[in-house]
Amino acid sequence: MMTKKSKRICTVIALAALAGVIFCIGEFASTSSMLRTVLQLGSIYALVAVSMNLLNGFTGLFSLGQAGFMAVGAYTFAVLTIPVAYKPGVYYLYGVADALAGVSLPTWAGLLLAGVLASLFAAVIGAPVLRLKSDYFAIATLGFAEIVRIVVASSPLNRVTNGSLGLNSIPGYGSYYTPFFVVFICIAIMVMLMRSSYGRAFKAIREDEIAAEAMGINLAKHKQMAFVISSFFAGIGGALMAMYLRAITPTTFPVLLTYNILLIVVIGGMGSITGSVIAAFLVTAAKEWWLRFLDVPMVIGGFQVPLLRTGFRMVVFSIILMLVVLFWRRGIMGQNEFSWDGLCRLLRGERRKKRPGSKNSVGGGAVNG
Amino acid sequence: MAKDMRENVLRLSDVTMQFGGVVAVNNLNMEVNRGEIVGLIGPNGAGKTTVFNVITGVYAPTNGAVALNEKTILENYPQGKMKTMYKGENAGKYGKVQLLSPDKITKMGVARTFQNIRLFKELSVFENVLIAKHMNIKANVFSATFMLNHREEKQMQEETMELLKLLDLEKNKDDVATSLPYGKQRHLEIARALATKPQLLLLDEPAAGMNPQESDDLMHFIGRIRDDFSLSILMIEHHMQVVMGVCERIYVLDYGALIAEGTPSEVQNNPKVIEAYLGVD
Repeated sequence: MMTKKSKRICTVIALAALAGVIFCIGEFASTSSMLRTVLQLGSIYALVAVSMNLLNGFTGLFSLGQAGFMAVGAYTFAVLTIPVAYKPGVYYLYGVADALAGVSLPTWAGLLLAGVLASLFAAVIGAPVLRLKSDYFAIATLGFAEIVRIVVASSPLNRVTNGSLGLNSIPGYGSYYTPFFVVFICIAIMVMLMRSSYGRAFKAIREDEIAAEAMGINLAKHKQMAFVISSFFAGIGGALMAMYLRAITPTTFPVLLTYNILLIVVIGGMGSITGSVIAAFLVTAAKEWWLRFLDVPMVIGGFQVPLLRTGFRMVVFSIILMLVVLFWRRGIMGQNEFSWDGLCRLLRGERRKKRPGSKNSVGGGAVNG
Repeated sequence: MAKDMRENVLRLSDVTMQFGGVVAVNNLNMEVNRGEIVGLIGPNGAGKTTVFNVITGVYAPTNGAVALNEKTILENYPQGKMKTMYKGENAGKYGKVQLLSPDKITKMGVARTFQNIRLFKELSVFENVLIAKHMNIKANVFSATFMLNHREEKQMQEETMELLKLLDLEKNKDDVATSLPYGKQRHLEIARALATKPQLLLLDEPAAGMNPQESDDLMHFIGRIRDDFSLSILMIEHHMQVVMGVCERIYVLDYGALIAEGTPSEVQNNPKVIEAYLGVD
């Protein structure tokens, strides 16, 4: 066991090392390097996955509306930040709404408003939807995500969202490090939230709603709070995605996106922020990079390996997923967070005792860094 | 008897709870006075837990009122044609409906435990108790996230620690709740209820599944917390040894209706009670 002080020093060193690695990649890796892309995309997925985990893993509300909130965030950001000079070009078919013609906000304001608008949507739909339980709640949020996508593409909003043509010329990242910086701050805030008294109340609701209510926790208020906060960060995640892609259409945010994020959350471990972050990078890297070789024909010693063709990597990816879910039922981290004690135990080959059903967890129970 | 001089903590007036055609609680009148330990017994399915669920706001009563410290906290009266079916003494008087959710009732000073232990299973013993302190938090979610309520948080943790020390759970504070032995889990559930600083504690079968030694300890434990926390306690229990040992007064329910009331010895010898438990030839 380490003292509190040495743990803190370790944490600072680890974060500095991580920043150093990202800096090296940003400075020295070639711009077309897959590593650069995977890191940026992975960090966006990490943010959205953690925001979804806040709801699904920590508060026990099985939501499938994440893509919808991302779409709200992305469109808010795009509509408000496209430079005025580009607007006629972007809206060449329908023209731009008069109120928006002269609006072009700085990036930080766009990001913030993206979050705010997404959380406003959440607040409005939360009131009726949060009365539903488990599966019904999932279906309702899934429906919401689809509604957002269809409303965005609908003709009355053409002069704002540009209909199914989508928006382009969205300002990209100011520097390579922007997404990492934003994602780090957002996740840090969520970590602090989960460590606060409110975070504990969320976990109590996940563990046992009836008991939580008997302990004086106002269920409606706390569920609404979790829903709104989760959507706020999903909105920011959507905006970061818009900045990354530079162009968005309603089809950028299909239901499939929600499932991808859910996948990351489940693989990382429902109820583990560290798990979501690790899984976000692993899944993104596997999907976009490590398995790419399966998409092209391969010849080894005059023998053509069968089955390899475009799309085959997704087959392999799915099989890997099934194996992970079969053998790592609670995800990489279970419900635990990374902790130095947990790492020490892992290195010494000890198993943490007394945590039923989480044989494969890496971290310890303590939430200390 | 001196009991009439005591302040009244809980009073149920003409409480009826109907689920469709099933009358789970039928026109029940009962009270708990300050500092008393009152038992609520009856055969399986007599409606005891339903009474708890009405008091704590889980169910809205079909008819009747619940008062805490002589102040009505819950009341409901039948509407429409159901109105004529109830003949409670006060049936005509109820003018308004007042229903509260369980969390509001807990804030008013009524805490409970559950028949089948409901702990926050994956959380530590310390966190289980600490969560009960959340309901009185003054900081909003922003200041709590950014640790601006440092002093409040520290106080919550200190109070929790104190409570754990008092209830001999200190050694287990970092253990996961479900890893505790059964008896300790019961203790923890009571500790968690006490953390809400109740004046009235409702215990739902606290001795269920305990051996004679454990239930004997529990008896003393219940007596002790009553004195230490100046509580009034209403408990459902099947272990006659516990009920007879610790309760000052007992209410007996059968098929939702009150069939007897009195001191343990009075109830024990009541022919109706014997009939309800053992049947008649």
